[in-house]
Amino acid sequence: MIDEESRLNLEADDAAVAEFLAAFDGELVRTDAADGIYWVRLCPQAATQETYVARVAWTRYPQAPPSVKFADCVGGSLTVTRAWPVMAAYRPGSFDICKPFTAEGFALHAEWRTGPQAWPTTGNPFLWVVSQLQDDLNHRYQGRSQ
Amino acid sequence: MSEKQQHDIQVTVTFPLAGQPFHDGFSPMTTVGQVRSAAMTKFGAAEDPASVFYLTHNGERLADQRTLADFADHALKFRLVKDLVQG
Repeated sequence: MIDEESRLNLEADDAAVAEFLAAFDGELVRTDAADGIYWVRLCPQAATQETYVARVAWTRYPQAPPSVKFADCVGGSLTVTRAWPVMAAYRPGSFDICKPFTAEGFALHAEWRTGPQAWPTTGNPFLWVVSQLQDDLNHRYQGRSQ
Repeated sequence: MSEKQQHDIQVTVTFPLAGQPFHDGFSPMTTVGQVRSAAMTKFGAAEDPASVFYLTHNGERLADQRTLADFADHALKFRLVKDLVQG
């Protein structure tokens, strides 16, 4: 359960996320307005037959980065290695993304909390997170994890 | 409208971390890098050792050396990407 202000802030920003994803044959699926959890369908631009599902779970929006993990389907397991793409800093073995746009990344790297890698709260951070995922799939994708 | 204005390409650059898009007119021979630099200044975005900025057009990453004339003759929409290189 997220606070009401976070819920309203997410509602204000998620339409732009859905529009962005649609331009890349993706989709934003919202499962529960109260829990701050979104499921995102994405595919690499060069391999549109390879669909991935990311769970983006917010606790406070826009103040804190979300947990981002890949699942085997919308609402599915978060511990399936094959659900993950092979890309630098995406770690199927740990089920985390070690980059400064996820809660998991900031938990591992306290030094990211200040300076240029600090979590941004301006503009539309939800769109920024999803665009990071899409851009990595477009430009760094090496295949599906086995 | 002046001759210069008639030949300018109207450019829009979006950036997720900015509240509003960047809009301006540029000559067709302006490079992508020059547009990127102008947009970053407007957005208050600065280069740092841990990230690289570039523009995309229809998802394609654009080299700074290309010119606007390569893409269109009247209007263009780009997206500014902050690429996080560490991990």
